Amino acid sequence: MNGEIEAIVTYSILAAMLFSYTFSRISSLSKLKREIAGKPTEDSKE
Amino acid sequence: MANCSTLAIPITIVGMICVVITALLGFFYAPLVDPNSWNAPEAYRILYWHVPFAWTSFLSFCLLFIGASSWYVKRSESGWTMLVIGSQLGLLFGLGVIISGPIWGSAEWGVPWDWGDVRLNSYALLTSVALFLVMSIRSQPDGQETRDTLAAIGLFGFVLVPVTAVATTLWREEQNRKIDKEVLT
Repeated sequence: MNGEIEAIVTYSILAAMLFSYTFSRISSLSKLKREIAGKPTEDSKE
Repeated sequence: MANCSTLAIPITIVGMICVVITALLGFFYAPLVDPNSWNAPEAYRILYWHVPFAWTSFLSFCLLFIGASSWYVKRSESGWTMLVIGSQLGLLFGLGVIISGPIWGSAEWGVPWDWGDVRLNSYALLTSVALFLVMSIRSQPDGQETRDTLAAIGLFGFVLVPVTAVATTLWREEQNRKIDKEVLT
């Protein structure tokens, strides 16, 4: 046992954490941008 | 502000590509440590992410400190945003360190956690402050009193950063002294 499995497991856990957080932030930002972009259209309808 | 949000996604994607490159270099390019001196030489590769995670968490706590100070001094909305982001990133990278450290420790030392090691315990406390802040921000009603209280806790958390850094340095010197003593005897 030279720690290869531990290294792979650790990298997998950290990658899952890091990527899930990053994608959730990117999707929130994209959603916010879409909402901001959509607002003037709603106002102009009124 | 509009420019910042335009740059945010490309910068994040570049950062993530760099993270992947670091992992690949750590696994396939970085030289292996001396197998005779280490119990789990391959587990050493964990440190190529563990250490950057630790430093990034310290940077996140710096962001939290700047945000908390800015909230106190100017009641700045951007300061509060920095505090929220700093606590989230502090928790993310802090958890990364808390998870990867014990896995490496159990492979190399045979035990996942050393309760006598000040740097580990002070770092765990630092991460728990970030956890407390993230949970409080999500659960408590947003208002000036809540923000004041959480900013004060954020400032307390930042005090732990130099404590952890000093503890790490002192622990390393102590370990070096022990190794020197063992080599001499």
